[in-house]
Amino acid sequence: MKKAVTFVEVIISMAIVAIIVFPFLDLMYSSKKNATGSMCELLATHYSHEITDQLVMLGTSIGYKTLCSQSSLSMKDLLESLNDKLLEKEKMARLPLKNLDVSILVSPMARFFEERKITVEEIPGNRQLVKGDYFKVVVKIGWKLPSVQLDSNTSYHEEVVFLRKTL
Amino acid sequence: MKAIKSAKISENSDYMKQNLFRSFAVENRAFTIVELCVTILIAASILYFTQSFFISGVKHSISITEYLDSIDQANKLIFSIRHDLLNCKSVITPDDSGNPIEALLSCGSPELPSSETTVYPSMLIISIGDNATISYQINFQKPDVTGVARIEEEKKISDNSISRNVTWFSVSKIRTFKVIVLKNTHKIENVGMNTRHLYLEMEVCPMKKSGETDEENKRKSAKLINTISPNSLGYSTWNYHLPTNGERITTP
Repeated sequence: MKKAVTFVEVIISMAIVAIIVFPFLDLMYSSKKNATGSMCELLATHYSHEITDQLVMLGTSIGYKTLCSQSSLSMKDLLESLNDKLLEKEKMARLPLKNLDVSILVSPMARFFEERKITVEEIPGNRQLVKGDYFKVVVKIGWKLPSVQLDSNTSYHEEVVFLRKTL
Repeated sequence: MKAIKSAKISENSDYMKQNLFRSFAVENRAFTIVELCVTILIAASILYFTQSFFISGVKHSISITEYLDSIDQANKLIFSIRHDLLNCKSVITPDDSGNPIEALLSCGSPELPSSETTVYPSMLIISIGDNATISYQINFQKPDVTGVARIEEEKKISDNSISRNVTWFSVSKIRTFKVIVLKNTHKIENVGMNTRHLYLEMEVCPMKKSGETDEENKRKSAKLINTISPNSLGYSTWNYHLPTNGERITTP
């Protein structure tokens, strides 16, 4: 009589194969995830950059004092009024500031992106600065990569720009 | 007593082994032709699976590395364009027929730019001085080496020669490079004013193999779309032409 392969031996050999194969699968998965993450980080940088560029441009060309007086809104309400429309995903959009014929351009966001938000915060007066009302504007971009883990978190990129209302 | 105990344990152990493996026992005989074929088939399948698994793993790793490198180069390219735009005098984007392109965005149209109505040229010319230009152009000269060339040219009036400095952005997986100058109109107290932006679109294909064409656009690709809005961006309609020998002469 000669023994054939036993159940225990089959289980052990499958475990050995799994020990060898799983690190490779994990490596491939994590490298793909890292590549997608890098791409999202790059895109987020550009999404925030294009908004801050235009906010600075509006401040120097038209001036926020003029914009606020025309719309009879505070700086915070004026800029944060864009938030409802910033989640554009289909095509490039031209978003008007509230009650004004002044608009900014935003690119369509790629998949995985789920947040694009502007928050405005007034900075208390500082004698070191040139006279005027200063505002800290934060552009926040959020994305979430598909993951096998249930508790995968949203990643964020934030860009801050300081604007002066009175020129 | 100890010897008897150990002999009993040994007997029990042998008995358990025999019972446990009874169902798996086979007679000591030669393989039949069917068994041999099945064994060879299984061995071949395992070898094939292992080989294809490792080869695909290596290919995947190479592809991801190339993709990351491509992303890095695309990032450098965008920041180079941005840097050049911040220092430029004027900018044009000529279409394939040689006409300068500027898309006007009127107050009434909330969407832009539409692929049906707007031409997307793949070349950008930035004037940085009276006789100096920087141009960006997608280049498919070799099937497996693609990217965008930044050509800095200066025409010397003294001896009428052209000095040229070429920087190559090897965005190896690039599929499209589209640029257009956008003119956004605003109105304040019924007085119109314009801001200019550079619309930039790059499509990077992550899984495209070297020399492979993807005419049906089936592969997944990543699109980099954004507008660059430097304060001093101007627009020019200065004359230029593309001679047949490939040398571009600009006339500011």
